[in-house]
Amino acid sequence: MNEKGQMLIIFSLIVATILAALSVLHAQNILAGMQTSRTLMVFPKDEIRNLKTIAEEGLMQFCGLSVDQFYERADNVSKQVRRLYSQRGVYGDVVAYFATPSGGVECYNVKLVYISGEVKYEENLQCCEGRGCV
Amino acid sequence: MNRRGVSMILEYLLLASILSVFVFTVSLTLNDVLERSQLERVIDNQFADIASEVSSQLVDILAVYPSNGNMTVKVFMPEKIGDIEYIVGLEGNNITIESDDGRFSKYLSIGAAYLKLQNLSGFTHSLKEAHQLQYSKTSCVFPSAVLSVRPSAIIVPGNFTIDSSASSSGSGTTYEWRVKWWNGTWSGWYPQSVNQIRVEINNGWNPGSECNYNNGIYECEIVLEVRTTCQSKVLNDTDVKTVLIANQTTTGGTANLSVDKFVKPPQAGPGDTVELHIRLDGKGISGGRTVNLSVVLALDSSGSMGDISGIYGENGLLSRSTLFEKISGTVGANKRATNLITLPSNIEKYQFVVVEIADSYKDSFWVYKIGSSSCPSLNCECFNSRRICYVENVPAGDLEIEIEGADKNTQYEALVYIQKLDSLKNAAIEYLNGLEPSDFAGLVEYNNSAVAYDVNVSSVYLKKLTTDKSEVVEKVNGMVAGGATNVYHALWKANQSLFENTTIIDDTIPLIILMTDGKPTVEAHVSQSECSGSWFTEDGVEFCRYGWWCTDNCYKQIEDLAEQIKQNKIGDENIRICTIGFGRPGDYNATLLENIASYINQTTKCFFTAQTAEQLQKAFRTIAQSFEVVATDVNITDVIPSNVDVGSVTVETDGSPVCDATPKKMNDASGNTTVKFNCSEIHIDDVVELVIQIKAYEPGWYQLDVPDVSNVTYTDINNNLRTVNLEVVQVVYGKPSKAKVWIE
Repeated sequence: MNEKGQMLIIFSLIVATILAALSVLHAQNILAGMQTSRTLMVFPKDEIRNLKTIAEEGLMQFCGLSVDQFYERADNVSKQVRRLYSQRGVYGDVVAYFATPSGGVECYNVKLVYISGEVKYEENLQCCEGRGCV
Repeated sequence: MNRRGVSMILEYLLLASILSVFVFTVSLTLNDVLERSQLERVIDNQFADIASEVSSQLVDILAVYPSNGNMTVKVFMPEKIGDIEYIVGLEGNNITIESDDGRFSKYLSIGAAYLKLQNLSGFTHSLKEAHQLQYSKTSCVFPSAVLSVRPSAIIVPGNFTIDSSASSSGSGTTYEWRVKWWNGTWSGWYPQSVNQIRVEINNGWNPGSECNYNNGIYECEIVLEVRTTCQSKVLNDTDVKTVLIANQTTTGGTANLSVDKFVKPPQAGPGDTVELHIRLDGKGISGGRTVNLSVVLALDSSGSMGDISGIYGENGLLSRSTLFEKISGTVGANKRATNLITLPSNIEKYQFVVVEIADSYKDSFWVYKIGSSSCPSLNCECFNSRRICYVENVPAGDLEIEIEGADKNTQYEALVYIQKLDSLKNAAIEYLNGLEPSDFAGLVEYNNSAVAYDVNVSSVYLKKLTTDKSEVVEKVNGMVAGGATNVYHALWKANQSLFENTTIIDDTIPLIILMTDGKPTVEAHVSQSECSGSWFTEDGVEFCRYGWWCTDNCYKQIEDLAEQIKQNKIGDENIRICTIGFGRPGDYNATLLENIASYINQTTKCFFTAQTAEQLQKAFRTIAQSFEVVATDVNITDVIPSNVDVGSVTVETDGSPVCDATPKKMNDASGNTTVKFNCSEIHIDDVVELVIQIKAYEPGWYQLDVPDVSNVTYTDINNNLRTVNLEVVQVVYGKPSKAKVWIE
């Protein structure tokens, strides 16, 4: 019997076992790293801020109009916003409702909605001319 | 002998043993060296990554957070790290990650982001399909400013009350209010300070630029601003009302129904009750009439109304006086202060004016001068060492009253009284001047007996009633106090006046206003033997001129006579009786006066009490207003959506509206609740307020009315049918809170 050959086989087995264990650990490491890297998405801050600006400042310009005129213009804005956001593959809307007249419209409620694969945003605001939104 | 030191078998055994020891030793440390230490490093890195991811999501959320809404953000994480499962949670101001077996954990503080957030909570297990961060926040709402001006229309001199107490802040906490009107501003904090103020408008008032003059009436604007701070934001609301001020009585259609609606408070916690108020106010100087009045004033001029001849002492003087005005101020460096009061010009000369230092100031102050008369002097008589003084025969107009103090720069308070009869003359003359030109008026003055004056001397057919009110005013001015209180004879004479010529006043509402300051002191309709005083017969009816205090039998005689009068009809209208008890409670028989009064509406008698000159004036005004219609056939319909619970519905009224006893509440097929309430008549200065209790359990914004079908319909004084759509009001359920964030 060749003793050297036996030794070689034995030590080869040992090395292979070690390598296999290290491989498993390495594979786990790589797997974990890949999973977490998926979370590095871009948060849609600007898209949401734009909706807020439209709700708080854009619609405020329609205050003073009659209720019907206010709703007509606010509805137009809503349609345009939906169209623009859909082009980016997301849903965005600014829906004005409950306009309270005092002569013309003085206060209105507005609902902001933004929905993408990762973020869903909803906000209700009560806005009054000269007093801002809460 | 074998050359080899050991045999082959032994060699194998030795090698195998050495190898076994080696493998055993390696296997003991392999897990630690090759797996555990590596795993720890990997897990530490990965946990840090996940915590950083959650932290950055939180910061991103804060960059665009909704002030009133919610946000959901997906979080991605591996199911296992190094073959271990783990839990990610939010706790305190930390993001925590812990392996299932508890061997590995990681904490990451969210730092300053915590200042904007609270109630970080929740956890998620790595094996779950999806993970998300939830953000939710309820913001404040604007406060609700509700201004009430009562009455909303006055004739100078007069007063009105500005009331801001129906206002509320969104969060139900304190708020600051500021009222601005043409004569200045007035502010305070709810609930610490008084939120009602009475504004006196005297002759010579200055309207300022806030008042628009239109057809004899000033429309003056009053602005209420309510301000509150919530979540570091200053929020405000304003309410604007106008008060109508006329320098003299105007007739004609200037009145209308004012409709106001508000919710109190505008923000509440889920399950809390809020109140929806619908307030109708008959606003105007004069309303409309469908028919004219024929009114006989039966006015008491007995000795207690102001005969001070033979009266000694301050108590006697005050018992025949009535409070006209309170004065207060600070004496100056010379220890004196001058006050100016205005005696209305309805009567030329006032019998007497009394000034009394208020009780708590009597130790340190005295009356120094009334008008041009120093006190005491020939003209100014005093009691109690100048604490109470009076002068007689005071002309109408401005009157200076000077107060003297023991020390300079000290505050005082004093009370000004006038003769009770003068108060009555003022109120009655104002009432007469406010009647429509085609109304008839007459006067019965009574004390020992009653006299129905001829006020229409030129007419052959009707002498006791006239449309020329100046004739009646002249007779009122000529009344002199003295004698007893013959109520029975007064009613009898008033009834006679109305029946003098029923053809001429056929289309009018006959009305007797009986005013007395005392209990009847004359037995009525008795035989000569039963009369302790002198006895007389009139139209075959026996009357007693003097007598003792009325007994039960005597009261019954008066009530029987009043009942008989109320049954009498002129044309289609029954005679109505309104009564006023004037003076301190107990001076007059309130039960008797209430019993003989007619009903002003289904539930209220036309009976009033008055202790001061102002209250007497108000009693006459209320009687006048009860015939001054602002709106008829008033129907309130409010449809409340099905997503809120509607509790009790109550009605509060002021004045003399003629309304249903209770509101109706009905549910329709869609679950909406309809509240209906009807009034057949609302008069000048009447207030009808419907209060609907509402409750919702889920957080959210609720509109409390269905638009277009919620309205008030009525017929105005020009006989036009009007519809006022009720404003849709909203309430926010959900108290303002800091942002809540949780992971799930």
